[in-house]
Amino acid sequence: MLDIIRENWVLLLIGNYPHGPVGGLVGTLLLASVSLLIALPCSVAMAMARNSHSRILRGGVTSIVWLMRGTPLLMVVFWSNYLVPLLLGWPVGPFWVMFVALVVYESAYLSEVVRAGINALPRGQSEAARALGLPESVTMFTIILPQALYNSFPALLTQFVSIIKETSLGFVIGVHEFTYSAAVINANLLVRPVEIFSILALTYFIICFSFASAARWVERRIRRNRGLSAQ
Amino acid sequence: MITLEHVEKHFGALHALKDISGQIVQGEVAVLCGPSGSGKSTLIRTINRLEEIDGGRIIVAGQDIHEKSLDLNAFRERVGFVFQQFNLFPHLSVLDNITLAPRKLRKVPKAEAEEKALLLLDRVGLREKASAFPTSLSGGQSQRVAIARSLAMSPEVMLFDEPTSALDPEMVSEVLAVMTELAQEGMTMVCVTHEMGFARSVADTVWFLEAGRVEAQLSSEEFFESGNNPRIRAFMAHVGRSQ
Ligand SMILES: Nc1ncnc2c1ncn2[C@@H]1O[C@H](COP(=O)(O)OP(=O)(O)O)[C@@H](O)[C@H]1O
Ligand SMILES: [Mg+2]
Repeated sequence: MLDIIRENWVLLLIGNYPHGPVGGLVGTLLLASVSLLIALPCSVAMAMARNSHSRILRGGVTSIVWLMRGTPLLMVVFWSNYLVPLLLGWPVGPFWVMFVALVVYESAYLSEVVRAGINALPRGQSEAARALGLPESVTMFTIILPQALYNSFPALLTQFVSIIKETSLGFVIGVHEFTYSAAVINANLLVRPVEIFSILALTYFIICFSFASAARWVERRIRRNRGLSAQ
Repeated sequence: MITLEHVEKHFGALHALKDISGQIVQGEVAVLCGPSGSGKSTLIRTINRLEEIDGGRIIVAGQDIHEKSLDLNAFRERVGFVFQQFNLFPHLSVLDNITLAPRKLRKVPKAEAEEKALLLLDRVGLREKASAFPTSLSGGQSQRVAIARSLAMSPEVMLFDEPTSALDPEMVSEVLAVMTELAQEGMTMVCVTHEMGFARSVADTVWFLEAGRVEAQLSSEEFFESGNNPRIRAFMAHVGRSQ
């Protein structure tokens, strides 16, 4: 098993880079990170839309969230594989197709996390802001969101773990990520699939377990710092 | 300063405020008291429109506060509100809690806003807590900061909804002292409170509410001498016992 790693560690780590796109483990983490980076502000906007006064906005965004929650990610991946190039009018590489799929899918899930964070704050917070005469936008951006995001940080980290795992679905549309590297190695060696996919699984596990543990640790700290969120 | 005319409020089937009328003169202190659930919080919250009314009129400083043309946020800047649970912003320091509204709403420069905030903290005796965070404060300290936060907008009226009910007994007096001083400086105040000592020494008028109705609206002297209203007598006996 170790010899597989020793002979293929570059491919496992960064894929064919610099002769091709960044792949391997770095590709996986890159895809997961940029997806989260863009999905997070989208999810905040969606969470705000779901608490807005406009019925149309609320209804529209709620439908998107329900649609995504009721659809396997693989369908979203296929859908964006055909639709994104069609909508843009030019070919789009698999990395960016997967990125779009993850952003759309994860924004829906993250918006639920953010919304829960917003709704968990005591009513008194927004009432105090209103009583001071602060407009809704100021209340949202200086009082509500900072607290809601801080309190939701563990849940967001947990969701990041999901995203990391979900990037492996990019394999089916040929995204150069960690699973893809393993499949390439498997195709080269042919006779050692159990070992190769054990390496793959173990690495995913170590990374995801680390983030999940970090999330639990952060959560305990936040509970301790804020009497508020624990109430 | 504040005039209520036939104010009505329903929560679904519950008739929470029934035909409430009354007046609070500028510079005077009105205490609202009455049993739990009688509508005191609902009433005081209608005065800055944290609670909307179903009927009647409320006039503050000559202005009908339900007029369409009213700029609600601008109106609320002129009315301070102090909550039972303080509702300080836990992610902001004491100083930032106090300077937030002046800086965001009046565009007061940071240094100037902080200077005024420190003066306000002096008034409530908490200058040394300027950079502390709310979670490190005691209840009494939190409530005094909350009062300072309201005062930072230089309101014309202060509304207090049971400001000492969430406090440990030994901290009640430090908050009442700040409120008393404020009253002596001529602030127009409406206070929901069961602190009858405070009401006796500071209030000009006492409103007694029961089941959504103002049962009695008396000058402070009349209220404390009127042994003739059996409901007030029963209520006073009750709060007297619980203190
Ligand atoms: N937001 C609300 N929705 C429904 N009922 C409410 C709401 N707020 C208050 N009430 C009811 O209105 C009545 C008066 O409440 P409140 O004004 O809080 O009384 P008090 O402050 O005198 O204890 C109570 O019966 C209470 O349950
Ligand atoms: Mg109350």
